[in-house]
Amino acid sequence: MQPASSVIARLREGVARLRDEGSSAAHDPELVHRVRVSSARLRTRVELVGARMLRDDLRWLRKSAAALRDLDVLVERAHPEPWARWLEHRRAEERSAFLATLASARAKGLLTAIEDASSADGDEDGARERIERLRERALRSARHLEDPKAADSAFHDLRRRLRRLRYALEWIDADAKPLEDVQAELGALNDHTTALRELERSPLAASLAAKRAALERDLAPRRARALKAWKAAKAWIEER
Amino acid sequence: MQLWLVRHAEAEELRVGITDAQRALTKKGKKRWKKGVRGLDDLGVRFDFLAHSPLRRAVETADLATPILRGESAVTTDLARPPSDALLDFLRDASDASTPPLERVAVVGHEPWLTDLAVWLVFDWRSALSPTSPPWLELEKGGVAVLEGELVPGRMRLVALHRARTLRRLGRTR
Repeated sequence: MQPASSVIARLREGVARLRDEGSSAAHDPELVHRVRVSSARLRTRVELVGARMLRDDLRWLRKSAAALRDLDVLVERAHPEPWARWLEHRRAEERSAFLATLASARAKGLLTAIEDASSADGDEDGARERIERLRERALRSARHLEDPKAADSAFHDLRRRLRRLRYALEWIDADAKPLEDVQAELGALNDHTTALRELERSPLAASLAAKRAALERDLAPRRARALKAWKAAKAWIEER
Repeated sequence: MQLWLVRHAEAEELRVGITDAQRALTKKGKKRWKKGVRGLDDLGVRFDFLAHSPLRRAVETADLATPILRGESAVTTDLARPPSDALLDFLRDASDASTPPLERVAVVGHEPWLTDLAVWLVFDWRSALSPTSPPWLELEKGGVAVLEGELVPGRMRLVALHRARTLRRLGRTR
């Protein structure tokens, strides 16, 4: 299995910079992205070596980084006023919440404990069995995806499971490239549903009806693209 | 709420090349604590939430308790230092965030802080935290104390004290 040291170093460096430089560093979307990705990778590794502790903590940290990252992605696109101003407001809220997460005793404990928890090599057979379970779960989660009534959350669930499967394959140095396209499409769909969700929760929802209608119109083609990419990936996963 | 205070199992001695935080459980410690967990399992114990210290011996002890964990786990540096309001706030926040509220919470940590926590929660008595005070209760490695009541200093009572050996015997009968 690939050593965890470089991913741990990336997580630690990202968190240290965010803590030391505070809000200014949290304006760097790449740094937030780094914390999100490295915590997700480490969570998969902890799972692969068969440990239970720290999984919830890594998920909690990833989730906090992801909430900010989703808004970073959304804000980067051009938006009309006052929608753009609202998104900046929401991003500032998520940034504060993320910095509070990093300053907590839980995050400090996680960074202290992660090295020992993820440095264990685990047994190769055990890791392969767990990857097999991740593979089965990914296939199972997508069973009803072709149903036009499938909820957006079903696509999100598949995205989550494919992410774990991809990271798990990468930890054992196996080919995961065929998952990249579907992940990109599911990521684009997630950005779209994030925009809709933010619009719905905003006090401006009523005055932005046209924007919302446009987003809703674009949802079906995006789901279709994600579904097409999934079908290609599914064939590859089933053959494995 | 029931608060189960669990002291980590037997760990290796401090030696050159490792820090105190890196001390792992010994083979014997793991074996004994696994039996202890089976004993807790036989008693029907299930934890809704488990908080643990980040020191390796506590992480490994918590990990071996996975078979009786039904909810989430969380690591916190507040369990690797004397008990504080921050620790109680952390546990209360975890309970408030849960639906229904947490009924049985485990904390895996170290002595003398677990005893300090028990004294504080039962008697609201922080003067007993002095290192010169005689031990009111000292949890052995792999031992468990159970408090019940409101998670407020002075409002909990000690309802059980499980010796590590007793739990192991229970676990061995399977």
